Amino acid sequence: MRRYAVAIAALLLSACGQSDTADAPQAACARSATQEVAWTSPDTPDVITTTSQGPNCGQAIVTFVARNGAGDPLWVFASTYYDLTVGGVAPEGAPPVTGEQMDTFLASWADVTVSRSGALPEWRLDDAAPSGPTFAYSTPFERETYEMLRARDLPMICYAAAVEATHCLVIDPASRAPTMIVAYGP
Amino acid sequence: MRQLLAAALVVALMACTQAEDVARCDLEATHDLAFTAADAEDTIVAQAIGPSCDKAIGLYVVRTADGYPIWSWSAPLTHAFGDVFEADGAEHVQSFLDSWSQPVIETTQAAPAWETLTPGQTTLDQLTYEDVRARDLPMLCHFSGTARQTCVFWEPAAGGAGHLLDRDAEETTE
Repeated sequence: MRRYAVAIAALLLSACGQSDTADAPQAACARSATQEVAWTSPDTPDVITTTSQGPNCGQAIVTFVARNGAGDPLWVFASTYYDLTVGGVAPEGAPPVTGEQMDTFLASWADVTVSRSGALPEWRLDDAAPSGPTFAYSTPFERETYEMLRARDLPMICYAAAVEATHCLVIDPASRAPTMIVAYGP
Repeated sequence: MRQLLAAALVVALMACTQAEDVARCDLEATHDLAFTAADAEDTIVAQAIGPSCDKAIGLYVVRTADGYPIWSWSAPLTHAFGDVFEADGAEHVQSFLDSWSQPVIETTQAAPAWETLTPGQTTLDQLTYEDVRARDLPMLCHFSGTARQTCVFWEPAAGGAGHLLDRDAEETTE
């Protein structure tokens, strides 16, 4: 009888943990990676979580989510695995992607480090955009604002947004909200 | 033995209750529609993902019947739609997702003329924008903020969807 009691308790416990999404098709490639990074606060690390979901890993949507130590979402970016690793739209018959390949990608994607906005290239007065020696840069800001944010030497994280594109984020000192200061690529 | 069974039930139910207390806000709504062709069986999945509903992100994905993702959009829900969800507001979020997953389907000729666009409303250049508009391609518009919609077009030649414009829209998420 004691075994019955344990079995019933186990059944109930497993039932209460189920959700509507457990059997969803996109759960077939449900994987994730997590990395802590001291970006918005030197005392409480932020958490970067990268996830994948899809009917298979080759058709997965992947997300990059930054949260502060309290769990508040700071930034989220979503794309396809294919666009981030090969580029463009996956053709029919594209090679399958294994779970191990996805785990490697997610771990690498989440592995951001903190740099400083002061390291970004200068936006010279007569140029149309900031210009560096290797990459082309674009920013949603006017030159004056961009140079102000650069001069503040703010903590900055950068993540891959496409095969050949990187986005960099800072916390806007005025609004205290995360914002993309620059995008760059070849 | 009955006492033992009753005790096991109580323990299990208490564990369930505790799990509910710290329940995450991982919810979704699914909607089937024809976007990529008149007879297509495309699917939209609108999701909230977070440790609680006031800290959830929103993820909006359009897939073809074969499972290929053709459009995705994401944002922290509070950044896009305001502080309208309580930490334990799963019912409210589910209602929002049910509504969010049902976009407006039009064609690109319903998009405004280039001359009437405001700065930043589209990321396309004039030539591309006017070409997409003139070809009268399928256009899907979903909410991406309070009284704000993002519209994407289906490009059959490329087999992908692209951002066309953002536009003001009547708020229907409440």
